Amino acid sequence: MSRRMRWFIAGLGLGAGAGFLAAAMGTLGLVLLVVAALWASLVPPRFALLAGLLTASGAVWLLVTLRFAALCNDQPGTCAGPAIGPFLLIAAVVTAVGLGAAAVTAWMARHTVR
Amino acid sequence: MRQRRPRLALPVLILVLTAATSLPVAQVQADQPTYSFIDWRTDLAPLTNAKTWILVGRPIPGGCSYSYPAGPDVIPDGGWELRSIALDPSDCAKLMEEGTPTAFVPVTADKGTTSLTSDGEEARTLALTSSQSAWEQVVWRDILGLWLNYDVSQVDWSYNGSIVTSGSTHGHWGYRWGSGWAIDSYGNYSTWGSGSSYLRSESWSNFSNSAFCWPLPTVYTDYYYNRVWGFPDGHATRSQSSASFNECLPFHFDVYTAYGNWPGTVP
Repeated sequence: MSRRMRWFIAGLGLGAGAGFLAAAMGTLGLVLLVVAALWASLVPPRFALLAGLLTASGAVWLLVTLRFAALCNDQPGTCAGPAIGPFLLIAAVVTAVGLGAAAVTAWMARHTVR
Repeated sequence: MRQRRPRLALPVLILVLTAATSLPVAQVQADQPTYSFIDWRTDLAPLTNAKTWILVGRPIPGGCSYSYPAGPDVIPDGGWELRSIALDPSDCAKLMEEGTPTAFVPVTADKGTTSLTSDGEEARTLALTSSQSAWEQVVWRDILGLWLNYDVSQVDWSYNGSIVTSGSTHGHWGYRWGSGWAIDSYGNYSTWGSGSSYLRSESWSNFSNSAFCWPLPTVYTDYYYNRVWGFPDGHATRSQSSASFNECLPFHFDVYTAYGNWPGTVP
């Protein structure tokens, strides 16, 4: 397994945890997610850790928001707060950006002179 | 081949997108709203003598704020329930329905306790009395389904088929430790129906969390009332009204009710 792949997998674990924290802790969790993303963007090889973090945190939010939307659909009138649609959209975008970063990382790995 | 230096544009874009998840959704109040109700509740037991009306709230950052009317001064023997049956989130309106509940938790013979009491050494009269307990727990949860806080109302009553002979009421409240929630006020009181026709437990409470959405306004969950009635025939009814305010993430509430003692846990 390449170094980039190991960092990508580590990013998946970090992103899953940070995604759950952001959902459970609100602002504090979101700050932790941002700090983790900032740190991950600086860890070489570039984008491997960040790609995993964004892919996993976005996927976690996709699952959480889809599950919540299904719950509200099953039990209408028992949900409150902002609409779920924008959260779904942003989670999808973050996941897509993470996958895009993973593709960039893989491309850089193939085109780097060793 | 020379490796290109990675740029910071991508991480910055990602962080902006991620931070945007905390922004509230703008609410727009139309001048002359024609309500478009959604999320119709079709799974509810019907109310007798039902009346429907529209509760109009006011838009606030992140949602709507509603001011709920007080319940009727005289509670009917059969109980009273006020509930939201449809929503119009864009106009901050709720379609409300109130009336007498028809759906009760079924009474089972093994959940109450029955005793025979004799008057004197040689019993000439035997009075049949039974006792029963019932409770309702309302729980607010976050988007993950983790419980945030709860309000429990329990009534314990004895009855003889004609009147409620004695009883007591209790409230229980709680919030998840370490989550930033705090309880601001709470209470429970008993109400006896005329002629001991029922005993009602009513719990209420207010919780707040200033850290969850900071720097946005403090989040509140208010339990306006959590009522359980005990009746002379041993059955119970319940009703609740609660709301949350200023959520930056969606919340959800569950209602649990059963005969017997509240088990002391959150499902």
